[in-house]
Amino acid sequence: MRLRSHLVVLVLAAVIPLLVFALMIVRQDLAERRDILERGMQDTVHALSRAVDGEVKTSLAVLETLAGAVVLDRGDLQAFHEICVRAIQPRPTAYVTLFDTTGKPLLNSSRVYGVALPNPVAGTQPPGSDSRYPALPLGGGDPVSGVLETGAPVVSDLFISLVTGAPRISFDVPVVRGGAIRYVLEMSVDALEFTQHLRAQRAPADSVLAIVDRKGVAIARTLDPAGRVGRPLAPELAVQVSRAATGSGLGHTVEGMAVYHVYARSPVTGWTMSLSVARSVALAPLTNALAVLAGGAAIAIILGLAGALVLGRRISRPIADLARSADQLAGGRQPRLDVSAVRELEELYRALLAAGEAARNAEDERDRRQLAEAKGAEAQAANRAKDEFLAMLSHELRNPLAAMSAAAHVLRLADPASAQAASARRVIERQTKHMSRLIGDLLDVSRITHGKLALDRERLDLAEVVTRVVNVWRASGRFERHNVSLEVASVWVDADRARLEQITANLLDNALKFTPAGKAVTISVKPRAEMALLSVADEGPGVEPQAAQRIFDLFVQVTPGSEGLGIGLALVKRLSEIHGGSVSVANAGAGRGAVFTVRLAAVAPPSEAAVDVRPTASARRSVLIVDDNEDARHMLAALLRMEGHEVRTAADGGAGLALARDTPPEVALVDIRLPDMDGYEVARRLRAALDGRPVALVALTGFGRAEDQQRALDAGFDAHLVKPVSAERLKHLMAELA
Amino acid sequence: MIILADDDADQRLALKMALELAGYAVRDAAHGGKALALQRERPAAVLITDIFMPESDGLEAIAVFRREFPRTRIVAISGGGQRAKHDYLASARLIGVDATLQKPFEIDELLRLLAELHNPAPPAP
Repeated sequence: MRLRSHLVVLVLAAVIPLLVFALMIVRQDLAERRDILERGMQDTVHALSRAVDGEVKTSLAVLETLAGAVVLDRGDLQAFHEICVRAIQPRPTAYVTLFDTTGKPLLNSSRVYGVALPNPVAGTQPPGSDSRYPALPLGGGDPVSGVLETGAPVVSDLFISLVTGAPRISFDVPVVRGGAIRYVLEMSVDALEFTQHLRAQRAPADSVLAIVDRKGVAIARTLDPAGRVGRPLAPELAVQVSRAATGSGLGHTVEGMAVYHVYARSPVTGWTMSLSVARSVALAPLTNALAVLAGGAAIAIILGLAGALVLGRRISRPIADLARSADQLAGGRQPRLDVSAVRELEELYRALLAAGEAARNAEDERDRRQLAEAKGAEAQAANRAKDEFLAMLSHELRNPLAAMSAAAHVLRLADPASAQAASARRVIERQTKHMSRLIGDLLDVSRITHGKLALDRERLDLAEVVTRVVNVWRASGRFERHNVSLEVASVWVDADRARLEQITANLLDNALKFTPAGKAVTISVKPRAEMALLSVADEGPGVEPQAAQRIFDLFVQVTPGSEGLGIGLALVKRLSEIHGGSVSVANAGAGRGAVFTVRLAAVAPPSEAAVDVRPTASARRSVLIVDDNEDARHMLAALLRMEGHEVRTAADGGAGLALARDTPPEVALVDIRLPDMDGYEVARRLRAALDGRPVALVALTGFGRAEDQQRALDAGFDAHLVKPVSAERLKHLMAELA
Repeated sequence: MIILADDDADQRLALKMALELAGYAVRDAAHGGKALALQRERPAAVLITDIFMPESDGLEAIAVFRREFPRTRIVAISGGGQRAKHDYLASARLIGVDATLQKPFEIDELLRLLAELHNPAPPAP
């Protein structure tokens, strides 16, 4: 239900009981008023009745007095006529008549004594004989007969006088002499006299007061007495009057006026006093009260409903606006609301705004805090990873240095030919390779991170590359503590040989690190559905499923306390990816180790003729080494001499160029950083000095960056070697330069 | 006699040779547990141990040595220095080693330290 409907119900709920209550009060009031009116009317009719009765009694008393006159004892009618004339003088319309017992009038006070008088008993005619008074009998014989029959006074009904020809009323008494009725004495009064009595009563306005005789004919009437006296009462009222001696009711007068009617019958005369008050007057208070009440109620209801509608709209519109505001707030916008007339709604609006503001602030604050926390956590994690990395780097570099330092100490003291010296040399070789690989990995990570790693792709048999790495490692004794097996099937890939070796070495390194001594590590290479698969399976603890996601991340070590920098597997992943391949890890089973698998796209093997052009042994060459680092110079020379090459060495550019001019070399290994001139300068001068004679120029640098390599090639070098140079790489290079 | 504990084979080998050239009798162990076993078999006067070893914590071994063989001198070596803000050598000093060395170190330094620390018995017959 809408708010407006609620308010309407509220208004009606307030107004209707009020109306009912008011109605009840009005009803009660009306009943009282009506009561008062009726009492008043009754008082009027009773007063009238008493007045008429008094008049009648007075008349009867006068007659009784006359009837007692002594003159009648002796039958002196003339004297009695005189007495009567005198007695009746004050009432001009009245006269007295004396009848004998047959009903013959003997004298009339209004006539001269002795004149002939009409006999009312004999002369009485049937009703309707006078057109003016159709309901009235003529004469007045009836009361005379009544007196003669009863011997008691009689009051007549209205009749037409035979003497005056007008409506009259008569009072008759017997004149008793000697115990018998000798005469009947009658006083006749003009009916108009009673109208005078009616006028003396203070009847209410718009009312009709009437005296009705026993036959229902009006003796007197305040309204239109000339027309209505002698005619019957209105039928509705006559019916009421015939029912009871006193009472009241509604009806219409003969004029058609709607009236409230009160009547009372006199026990003395048997006549009825009737008072009719116009209903418009009698019920005016009711009508007025009802009209006022109805009007008031209508106004109250209309005002209430209008108020409900207006107020409902005033309340409901801001509420609807507020609802919209809440939506806007939820949407993060600042809502606008026209000021409402309802203070609570205004307060609600302000509260809503404040709540929205607070919610927004809280949200912003939360976002900021979360962001800050996330940033903080990220920074902390990055910091921790960096700390860990630096700590591990320090450890990883210090360990080989410590071993080499000890080995150098041994070499210094031991007989060079002794087994101890040989062991010490092997220690140094291994640790050198280890460190150089470590540093290479670090540089590779840096290059890959900056997207600067260039691949030197060629068509390669993955099985051959992996086999070579495994053989070198086996020869170096790194598999001594483990049972390493190799299962390969030839599959060709388009890849960078050095990077494939790096991938293999890192996977092997990882497997050996986590596999307990005496357990197996299995390396396999096989083709599968257009792919070349390189798998390294170990028998270490395996990889936790949740760690499998992070194990290839940079600087992440999923096994707490393990050695290493956390870059080996990250490099494997990135190197695999820049080859267009992928790497994944799977558990062979709980506690049965992990299997790392690298997938690369397989390519068609090259034609037979192209296969394996690489010579396994190189020819004897004349080699010139220009390097200011004595150790490096001697090591390189020793390696080359072991391969059977003829080697000459120089510590700076000038000495190198002098040697070259003396005897042109076939291969020159030139360090880029020299004390007198840089390697690029040496290369240019060497080319110039040799004057077109073929010479293979190899740059030696401590930097493995692509741009270093490119700069060397631009300066006229044929190849580029990164220090420290491994025997394998050197051997390979010498073969390539053949 | 010296017991040398280090998880790195080359490190162990090179150091053992260097110490032997200096006249010490050296037995080596790849981890702390092995060193403890050797010591229980035949006590040595000096233990040289790497602190950070994956299979058995060097600190743990040092603690057991301190308890069971209070007279044995202990030299702790570490390449880590600080790892995750934790100074292992400091920890080692706290639990009572006689000397600490940070890798890489000169062998002469170690020899000097050994001489100062203790007059180790001449090479065992």
